[in-house]
This record gives sequence, C-alpha cells and structure tokens, in this order.
Amino acid sequence: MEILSNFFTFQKIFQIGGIVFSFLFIVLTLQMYSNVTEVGKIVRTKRNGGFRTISFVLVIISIVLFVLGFVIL
Amino acid sequence: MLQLQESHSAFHGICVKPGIQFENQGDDEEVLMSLRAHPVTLVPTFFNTIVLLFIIFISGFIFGQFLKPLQLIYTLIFFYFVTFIYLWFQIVNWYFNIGIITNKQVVDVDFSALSYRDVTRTELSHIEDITVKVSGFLSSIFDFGNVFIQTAGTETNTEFLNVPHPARAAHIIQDILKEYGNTQ
Repeated sequence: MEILSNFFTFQKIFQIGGIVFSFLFIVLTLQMYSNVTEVGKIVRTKRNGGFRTISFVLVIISIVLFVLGFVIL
Repeated sequence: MLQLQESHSAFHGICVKPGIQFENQGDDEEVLMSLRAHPVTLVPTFFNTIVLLFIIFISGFIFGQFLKPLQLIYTLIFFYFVTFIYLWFQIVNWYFNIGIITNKQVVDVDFSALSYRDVTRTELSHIEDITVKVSGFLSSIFDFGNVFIQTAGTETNTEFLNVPHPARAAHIIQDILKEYGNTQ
C-alpha cells in the first residue's frame, strides 16, 4: 500500500503524464510531417517547402520537449 | 478560345492559372483553376486558439501553487506548443484541401494532417452537371458555398466545400467544360 501511495502522488502522476504526452506529440508531429511531405508530392505549390520546414521544426521542438521532460519533470 | 487571366483572390481561395503542378500531370495538361475553402472558415480555429492561450495563461496562476518553478515553465511551454500544433494542423488541412481544374480533368485532394489523404480525379468529358449551394448567414455575407460536380454513371461525384465566390467558380468551370469538355 505504501508503495502504491508513493507512486500515485501528484508529482509522480504529473511526471509520467508529461513524459507520455510529450512522447505522443512526437508521434503526432512526425505523422503530420510525413503526411505534409507526401501531399507535397501530389500537389506541388510554391509554399510546399515552407510548410514542410515548419512541420519539421515542430517535430524537432516536440523531441526537445520530450528530452527536457526527463530533465525537468 | 477561352481566355483566362491569372488571378488570386480570397487568400488563394480561388485562383485562376495558379501556377501549381500535381502528380501524374500530363505534358500537355495545364492547371486552369484551383479552389480552397474560404479563409473565413478558419476564423473559429483562430478564436479557439486565442481562448486556449488565455486558459493556459490563467491556469499558470492556479497550478503554480502545486508545481516547482521549472516544472511550471515547462508545462506552460508544452501547452502553448500544443495550442500552436492545433492551429498549424488546421492551417495545413485548409491549405492542402484543394480542388484543381485542368484542361483535361478535375482533381479533388482531401487531406487531413493526421489521418488520411484522398485524391479523386474526374475527366472533364464525364462531368454532367455543376451545382452551387450557398446556405447560411455567414456564407451569404462572405460569399462562400459548395460547388458540386456530378459525373455520369457510378463515378464518384466531386465536391468543393466552402469555396469563395462559388457562382464565379462554377461559371469558370462551365467555361472550361465548354472549351475542353468534348475534346477527350
């Protein structure tokens, strides 16, 4: 019981939740980047490069947030 | 001979001779028009984003009592990032949900940043009817609506939703059909 009560403290739930959610966002942004890249091959416009670059930056930010989650949380 | 002048209106919602290309485009195929949803359809997204930013700002004061300063900063940055992702998804969905009308076919690209992309092609010679439907208060004010392209037989019908100036779009498509529709 003591182990369980230690595990379910606000801080622990916050840490686990933060890491799980930040990992999910890596998957989400990667999926978006892949879809934007694929649709960019179907429809080629002048702004495709910009959309792909911003999507890539979002993937990088989500990875950085995931790593920071381990350090800070 | 159909004379179309290059034009871009409603934030590239309706473009004549847009200068874009697409997959499997023929050598003698020219993109004559592209259609996207009216930018005003993004207004609810921007409104939601502002509300979310405000909620995150307020929750910073509430959760600040339970969290360490570094944890609070991380959490706030994380949720601001989530909000930006939401906004970005909607913009990407708007931009890549595009209808393309060429001198040979109509291409409808349905796209979702997360789950799917669907490309429907219809040859001009298979088009039977073009219908415009404008309904609702905002649609009337900002002049946007749906353009339905009906095809013969069991082929999939194409629909362009919430496009700006739908009557003008349908008129241009009909002109393109008259010029190129029977030359297949």
